[in-house]
Amino acid sequence: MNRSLRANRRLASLIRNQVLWMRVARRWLRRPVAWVTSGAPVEVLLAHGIIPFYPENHAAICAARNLSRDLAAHTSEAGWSGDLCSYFRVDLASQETGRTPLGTLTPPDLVLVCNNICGTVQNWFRVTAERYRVPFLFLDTPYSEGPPAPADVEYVRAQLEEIARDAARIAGRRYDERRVLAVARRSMEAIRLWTEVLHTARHRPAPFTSFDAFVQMAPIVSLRGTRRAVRYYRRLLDELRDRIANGIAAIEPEQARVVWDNIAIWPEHRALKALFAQERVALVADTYTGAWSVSRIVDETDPIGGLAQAYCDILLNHGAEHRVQVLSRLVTDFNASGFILHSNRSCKRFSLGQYRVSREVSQRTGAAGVVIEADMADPGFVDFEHLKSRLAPFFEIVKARRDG
Amino acid sequence: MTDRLRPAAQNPIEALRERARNTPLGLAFSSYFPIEVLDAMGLEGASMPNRPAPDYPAAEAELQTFVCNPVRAAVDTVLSAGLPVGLIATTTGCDARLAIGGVLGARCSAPVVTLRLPVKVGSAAALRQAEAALAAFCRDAEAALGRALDPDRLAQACTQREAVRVRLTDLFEGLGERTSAMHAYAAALASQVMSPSQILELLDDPGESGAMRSGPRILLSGSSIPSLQFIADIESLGAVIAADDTCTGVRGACRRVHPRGDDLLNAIARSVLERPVHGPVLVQEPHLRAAHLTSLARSRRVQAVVFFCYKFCDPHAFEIPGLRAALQRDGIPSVVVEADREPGLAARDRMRVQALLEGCA
Repeated sequence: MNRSLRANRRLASLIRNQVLWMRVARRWLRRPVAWVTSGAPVEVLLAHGIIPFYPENHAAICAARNLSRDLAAHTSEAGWSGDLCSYFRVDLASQETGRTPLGTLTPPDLVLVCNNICGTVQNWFRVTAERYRVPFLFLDTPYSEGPPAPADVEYVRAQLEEIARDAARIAGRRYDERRVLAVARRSMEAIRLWTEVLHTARHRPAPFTSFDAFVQMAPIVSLRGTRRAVRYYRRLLDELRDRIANGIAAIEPEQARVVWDNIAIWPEHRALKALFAQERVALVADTYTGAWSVSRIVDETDPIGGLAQAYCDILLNHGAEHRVQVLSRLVTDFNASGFILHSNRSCKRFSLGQYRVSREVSQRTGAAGVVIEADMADPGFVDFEHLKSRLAPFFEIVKARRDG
Repeated sequence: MTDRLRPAAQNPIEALRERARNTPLGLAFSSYFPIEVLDAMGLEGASMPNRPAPDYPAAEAELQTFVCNPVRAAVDTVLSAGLPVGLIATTTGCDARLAIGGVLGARCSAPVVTLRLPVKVGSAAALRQAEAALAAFCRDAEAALGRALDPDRLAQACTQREAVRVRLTDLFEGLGERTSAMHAYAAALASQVMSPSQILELLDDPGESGAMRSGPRILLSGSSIPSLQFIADIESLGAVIAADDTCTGVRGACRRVHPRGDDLLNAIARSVLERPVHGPVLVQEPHLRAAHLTSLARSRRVQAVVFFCYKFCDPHAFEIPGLRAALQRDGIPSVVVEADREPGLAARDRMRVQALLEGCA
C-alpha cells in the first residue's frame, strides 16, 4: 500500500507557486521581499504587503535535494569557517553560485531577524543585509528560563511596533494595526490546525510520522498568516482523520513509538525514514515541528502586544528545564517508549544541554534516550552507518519497552 | 611591575583560590559582566579566566564537542577545580554561553543566575531592558544567597572597578608607544581574578611598564586571549602589538558608569550597552564593526591585523570575513589564527603570522 500522504503533491505545488508569486509580485507589483528567520513575526510584514522568504527553509530544501555538500564546500573555500551553521553556509553559497532548487533566488529588499530561535541568525542575516545593502530589522527577544517576564514582553513590544512602522514605510504603505490583527488571526488559525495535525499522531497506530511532519511544516513556517496555509492544513487534517477512520497507519505494524529532539537530518532524511519503517518504529512527535504549534498570538485589543508575547515564548528561547518539561510531555502524551536527541553540530541553541535533558527526561518518564551526532544540512558531518549503529540497540530497547 | 602581575595572569585558578580563603567567589562567565554587583553581594567577584588544557573530563560529560574552549574550560573549572564558589553569574550573548546556566544548573552546588541583558544596542528600549534585567538578576541572586546587595559596597566597588578599567584602557591605548603588550595583557588577565584593591595597587606602581620593542605594528582582534603565552608567541615572531580589539583588552575595559541622578544599578546596567566599543556578540548596525576596526588600524598606524578566533566561536567566525574584506579595501593585510586548546600559537598559526609579518617588513 502507498503510505505517502496525498498532501505531498499539493505541498510541492504550494511551494512552487509561492516562489513564483514572490518573483512576479516583486517584479511587476513592486512588492518588497523580506528575507526572514523562521521565528520572525512575519505578521507585521504581511500586513503591509511585504512577501517573506525563509533562507532556513531554502537551505533545508538544498540539503534534502543533495546540493548541500558542494554548497558547503564553496563557503569553506571562500574563507568561512566550516564550523558555522550549515544552513548559513549552504544558503550563502547558493546566493554566490546561483545554484538553488528554486530556479533563482529573489533578492531581499530588507531582512527581518528575530533571535528567539538562536543567536546565529543575527550574525547570518547581518551578512545578508551587508551583501545586498538592505535594511536590517532586528527583534531582540530576551531568553528566559520560564515564561517571559512582563518587562521582556514590553521590550519586545516596543521594538516590534518600531519594526512594523519601518516595514510599512519600506513598503510605501500606511501603518495599519487592524491589518496586523487580521493576519495574526490567520496565523493563529493555521497554528491551531497545525497543532491538530501533529496531535493526530497520538492515535495508535499513528497516521503519519514526524518524518512527514518535517516536510509538512513548510507552510506553517513560510506561509504563516496567509489563507493558503489555513486551507492547506484544513485539507491535511481531513486526510489524516480519514486515515485514522480507515485504519491506515504510517508504520505497520507499529512496534514502538519514539520522540525526536532537534532539527531533522536533511541529507539522510529519506534513508532515516526508510530505516525507521523497516524497524517498524514510528517517530510520533518531535520538538522541532512542535515549535510552531504552541503560541497564542492573537490579542484582539493589542495585536502587537499579542505578537510580542508569542514570539518571546518559543521553545528555543527557554532554558533546559523547560525543554525537559516539553520533551517529557511529548513522550507521555504520545505514548512513546523512547526518545532520540539529535546532537546537531550546526545548532548549538538546540543541542547544548541535551545530555542533561536526556538524563532528566529518562528519570521523569522511564523512557529510553539516545543521543546521535549529526548535522542538519552538511553531509560531511553525517555518517549514516554510524547513525544506524547507534540506533540499532536503541530500537531493540524501545521495542522491548513499548507497552510500559 | 609586569613581573608582579604575572603570577595571577599565568595561574589564575591559584589566584582565585587564594582570594577565596575567607569569602566565596562570585564568578562571572563573561568579561562584560558588571562584576561590581558581585562584590556588592559580599562575594569575591571575578571573571572566569581561560584555562587552556588538552582535555576537560568534567565538562566533556556535559557538553558536546562543538563548543568553544573558553566555555568548555569554564564549565570544567566549576565542576572540577574545587574552588569555593558562592554564585555563578552567566550572561546572555552567544548560544554556548547561554547554555551554561542549564548545563551547570543540574550539576553545580553553587546557585547559577543569568543576567539576561539585551543583545541589541543603540535604542532606548534596550537600555530600559538592561536596567530591568540587572534588577531581576539582583533579585534572583539575593534570593539564592539569602542576603541583600549592599548599596554602600556597590558604590565603593563601582568606583574601584571603574578605576581599574580606566587604567587598563590607558595601558591599551599606549600599546606600541609607551606600554608593552605583555604588560597590558598581563594587567588585564590579572584584573580578572585579583581584587580591585590588589590590582590597583599594582597598576599604580610607577615601575616599568614592559620593555618596548620594534618591528611591524599589528592590531590584535578577537575573543578573550587564551593566556599570556599567546601574546609572548606573537611577540616572539617580531610583531609589535600596537592596537587591541579583544574581549580581554579594550572591549572589556572601555565600559564607563555614568550615574544620571538615578539608581546606581541602572547606571551600571546602561554602561554595558553604552560602551564605545562592542564585539560581535552585541547587535549594532552591520557596518559599524568594520568602520571601527579600519579607523583603529589607521589611527594606530598598524601594518597588519591578526584576528584570532576560537574554534566553534560563532560570533567572531561570522564577522571575520567581512572585517578582512574591509581592511583589504584599505590596503591592510590580515591573517586569522584559530585557537583551540593550546595556551599559545599552534605551529601552523606561527607560520601564518610569520608570513604576514615578513610581508610587512
